[in-house]
Amino acid sequence: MSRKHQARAEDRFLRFSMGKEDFAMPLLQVREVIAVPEVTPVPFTPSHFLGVMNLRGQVISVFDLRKKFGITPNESVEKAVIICDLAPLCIGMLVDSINSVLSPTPEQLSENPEIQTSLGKDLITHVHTENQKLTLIIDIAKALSVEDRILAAKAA
Amino acid sequence: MTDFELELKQGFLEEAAQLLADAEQAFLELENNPEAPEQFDKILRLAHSLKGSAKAVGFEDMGKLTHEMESLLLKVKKGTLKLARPMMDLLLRCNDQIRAMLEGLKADLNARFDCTALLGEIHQAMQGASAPATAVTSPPIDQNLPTAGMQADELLANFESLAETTRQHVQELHQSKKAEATASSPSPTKAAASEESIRVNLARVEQLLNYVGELVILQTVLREQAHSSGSALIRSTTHQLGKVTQEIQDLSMGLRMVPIKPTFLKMQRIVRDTAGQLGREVIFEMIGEETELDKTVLERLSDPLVHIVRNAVDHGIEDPRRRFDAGKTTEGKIRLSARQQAGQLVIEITDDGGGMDADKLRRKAVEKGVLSPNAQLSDSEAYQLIFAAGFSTKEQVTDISGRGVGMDVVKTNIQALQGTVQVETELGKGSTFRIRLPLTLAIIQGMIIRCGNERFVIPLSQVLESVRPGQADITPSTIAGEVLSLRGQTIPLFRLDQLLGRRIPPKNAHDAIAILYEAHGKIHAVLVDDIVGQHQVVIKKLGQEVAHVKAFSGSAILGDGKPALILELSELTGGSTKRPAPHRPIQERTA
Repeated sequence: MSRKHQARAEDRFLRFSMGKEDFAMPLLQVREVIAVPEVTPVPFTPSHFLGVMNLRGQVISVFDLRKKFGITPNESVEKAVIICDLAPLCIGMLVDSINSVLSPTPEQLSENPEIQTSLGKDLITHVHTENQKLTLIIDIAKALSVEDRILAAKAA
Repeated sequence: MTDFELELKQGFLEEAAQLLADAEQAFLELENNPEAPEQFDKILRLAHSLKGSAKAVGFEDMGKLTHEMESLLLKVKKGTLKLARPMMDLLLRCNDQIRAMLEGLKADLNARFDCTALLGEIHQAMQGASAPATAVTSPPIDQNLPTAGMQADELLANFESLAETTRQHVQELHQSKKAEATASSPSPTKAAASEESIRVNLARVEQLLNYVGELVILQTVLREQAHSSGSALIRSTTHQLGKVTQEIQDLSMGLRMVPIKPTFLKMQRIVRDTAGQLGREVIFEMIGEETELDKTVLERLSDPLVHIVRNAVDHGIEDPRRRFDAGKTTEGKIRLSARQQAGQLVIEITDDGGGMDADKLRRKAVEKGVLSPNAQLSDSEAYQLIFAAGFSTKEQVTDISGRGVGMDVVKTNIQALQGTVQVETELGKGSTFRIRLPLTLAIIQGMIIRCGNERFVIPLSQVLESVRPGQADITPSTIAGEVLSLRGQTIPLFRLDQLLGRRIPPKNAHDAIAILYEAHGKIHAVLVDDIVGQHQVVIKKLGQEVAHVKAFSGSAILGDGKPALILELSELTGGSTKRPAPHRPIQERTA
């Protein structure tokens, strides 16, 4: 289940970059941020699924969010993996760099933006604007169509 | 009510809630897809379990309801009754009623329930009368209308069967709880160790195991570094740290293990009760009750054991009169034994009853349509027929057994634990059921293999043998793929890199190693680059996001800290001798 964002607009977000664009996700869903680990590839998975890693004894799936979004990676920066806690799932997401924690004022946020995306509905929950710089706040579970995948698993 | 009874009952309530939730889901799936016999069988099993437990812990009302519900379900299964909308409604209302009862019992363990109306409905449904719509839609408690009288009977019957399952279950639970209680608290009985203990959440134990695993890996790295370090102090400290780490690992691995005794005690109770009901005289004996096994395995072992033990009393032990005529002691004997053997747990249930008649089994199997009339079965094969679905040799449907669901459930449950069950019998002398189980589901013996640059784990239990085939042993065939000739046998050969969808330039096959395994009753071979070693590995589940990739049953963290995937070979080759179609990444369809 995705969290309702409207009720907690004052919540804080983790801002990160992919390519030249800025994104953010709810800070509450972030367990930790780590350097890019060694991953074991898993056959029969799509290309944006990097594989599984060992996080202190726990085996966690790592996705390349840039590939999933079709963003050309920024090769000049040091990459990072955000470990997201999307109960019951715990997954890692490879992004280009971690920027900052956003504590937006209500005026800086616009809800339910009318933005067309090719990656599913409700993916972008808010748009944050500050000094004419846009940050898209995304729903990670939807971004990875995790729910679809679980359904597919059940149907299989 | 003693503390023990209290604990037992509370334990049942917890378990029953889960069973109900499962049943409800199965019902709903069945409604969406009426052509899903496996869902129906699942409901039947759940009802059966619930009936048993409820009766066992003494929740008579629930036992009664579940018993009738089960009878009704069986009629539907046999096709006597149609699984139409009204039937589904009725069944779901039974489910609701049981849930209401559970809630009531949670508040007050002595609560009684009047389900006469619902039971009547079940009875009526079983007589084939279509239930009047009013009765179907009104809540069960309000069914005092004259028209609902007949239905009430029916429902009552239904209710009874439901209740029976529940009682059985409660009893099981009670017994397992009891065992747990004796195992984990200072107990007045001499058998229980007088050690103090605490209850720990299993999730915390698993977390601890994760960290210990990591500790071992870090320790290995540290040891390698220390070797090249000049300081003698660092070297000796590291050495000691290694020893302590090993101790911690051994200890923490043992945390999941519990003695089997509580479960055995529960069986004792079941033997006593069942024998009492049937007028049999039975002496119960247990051996090796201190044997330890993984708690999760133990929990799931309880149901199958109950079925086997009940069957031993009901079908195995003859009544005292017949025993006397046969020149045996009037008391039958049932022996339950547990032991560890070659890294496995072996449980045997032996009775000195009448044994089984292979000819009778064959005849019965043909009658029931389980076996084709032309089939040629050896005696020992015929004995295994009792594990077939829908096979029960008793004509009469009794509370105890004879519904033809029991042994089928036994086999399914034990296979789910990666175990096997077999029966040996001698006519006139008795039968022995032998269950073999892995000691734990959390750790397996793994063969670590290499394919390209990647390592995979194959559960050693799946490996029949590994050979290094000569070039002449492998024959390519355009239509049948490659074939391995081994000691005159021809075995379909697969290459792991191809199975995994890799396009790796073909290497010399004679450098590779063929691993033989059995999939769906046939021997297959898979070609891997190398065998890296054999280790005990701790199974780590894969996340839900990849769990649907059936080719991998999980992952394991290897000595260098990197995860490796555990291969499920039979899933990879799909059990057919055809060339496997290249697997499509499932996600791409849905993403």
